[in-house]
Amino acid sequence: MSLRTYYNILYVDVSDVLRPPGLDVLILLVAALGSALVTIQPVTSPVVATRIALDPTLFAAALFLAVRGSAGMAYLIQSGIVNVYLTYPIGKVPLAVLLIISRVFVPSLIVLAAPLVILTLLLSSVMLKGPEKALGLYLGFFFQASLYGLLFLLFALRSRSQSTSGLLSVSAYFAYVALALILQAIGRSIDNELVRKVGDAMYLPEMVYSSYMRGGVETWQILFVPTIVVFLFVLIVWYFSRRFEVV
Amino acid sequence: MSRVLKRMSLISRLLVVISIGLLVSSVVAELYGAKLSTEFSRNVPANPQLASLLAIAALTSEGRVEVTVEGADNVYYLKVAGDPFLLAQQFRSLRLNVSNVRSNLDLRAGVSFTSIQVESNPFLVQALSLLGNVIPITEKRENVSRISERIRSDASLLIIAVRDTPGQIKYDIKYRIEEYDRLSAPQTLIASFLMIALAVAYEYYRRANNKTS
Repeated sequence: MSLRTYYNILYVDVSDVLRPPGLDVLILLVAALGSALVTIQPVTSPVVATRIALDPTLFAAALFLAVRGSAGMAYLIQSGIVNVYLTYPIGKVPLAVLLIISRVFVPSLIVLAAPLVILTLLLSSVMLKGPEKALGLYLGFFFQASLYGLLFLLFALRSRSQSTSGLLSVSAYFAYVALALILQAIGRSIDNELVRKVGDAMYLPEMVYSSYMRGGVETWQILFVPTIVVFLFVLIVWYFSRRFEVV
Repeated sequence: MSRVLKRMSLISRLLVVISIGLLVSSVVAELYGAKLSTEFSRNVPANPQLASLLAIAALTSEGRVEVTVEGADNVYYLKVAGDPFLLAQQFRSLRLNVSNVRSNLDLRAGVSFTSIQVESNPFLVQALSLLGNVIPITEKRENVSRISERIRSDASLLIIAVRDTPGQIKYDIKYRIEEYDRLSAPQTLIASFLMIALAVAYEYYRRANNKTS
């Protein structure tokens, strides 16, 4: 069991997830339009620039993760490719981790980084005012995308059907966004701070943005989404290692 | 096109795609890009029962704002965090009777101007001091008050003008954006060509290496 085996599986699966032309067209559109949104305004803060560019990109990243990550994983199961992976001389836990990296983490990092690279080139004087803040907000978006991606992957592993996992993923995305908005609205209308704060905490980029721009964000609100990400990560690894066997 | 992309490595594809994206956003910036100054003026009715508020919110930009207020007997200003929509909520939470909210957004200057009418009462300035440090304008020339302040992104300058008799208050605002700069079109063109050249060179190197091995 060498590192080379891990690398080979990761390489093959990443190549499948990021195959052209789907990724290329998506990145071209989100990167060009995301950064164009920034350049039509005189943005002078790296945090504001990153937020404007990555807000619409996160939606595109979620759709990409639903199609290539979740439905793609269901296809791997249906076509028996996962069984081939399982015959490799590596444990099921490392294999599950590799699949999570290639199906969720790598696509999220790449799709979200594209507009940021353009912004860093185009507005270098603005972005270099606070690169650590732009990076912090980028990480916020990455965790949010990872949350969606892991949830979608769980649906794929459970349903083992492309269409079902695709539909469940898109439904879950809208349900999550709507639930956050409902909690915020209810919290405001009944004047319950905790409910409103939970609603706010469900969208990590907003929490990171607010902590940089206005302050007044509590630590648990920042840790809310990363905690769910860790929980889903462990749940997927556990589920994969228990429910998938070499046929 | 798809066949060409399939033969390329991920790094080269990303370089090409990002270089095209850079060119597109640069063209958009040249045609409809940010402007570095803007002006705005507005006349609003006011009387002893109705004070006028003007919020200048730097939504995405930051810079220096110069305001002249004509026709007001007393003028105060304060800086607050957040945009005018949040401000309207804050006014309501202070139990101030807000009416006639009119907002003008200048997206290309990254600033919005919102005029609000508030039911005037003896505690208005005291209530607003809960939002920030209220500064009175003591120097006036020919009934014109001047304010010059720097505002940063996601903050607002709030001006409160009060009249002792019914009449009009006139606001003239000049906003100049500071600390903004972006790559020029020729610089962007060079950067894009460099990225494409890098992608071509990398592909050439990769294929040459594959052939030898």
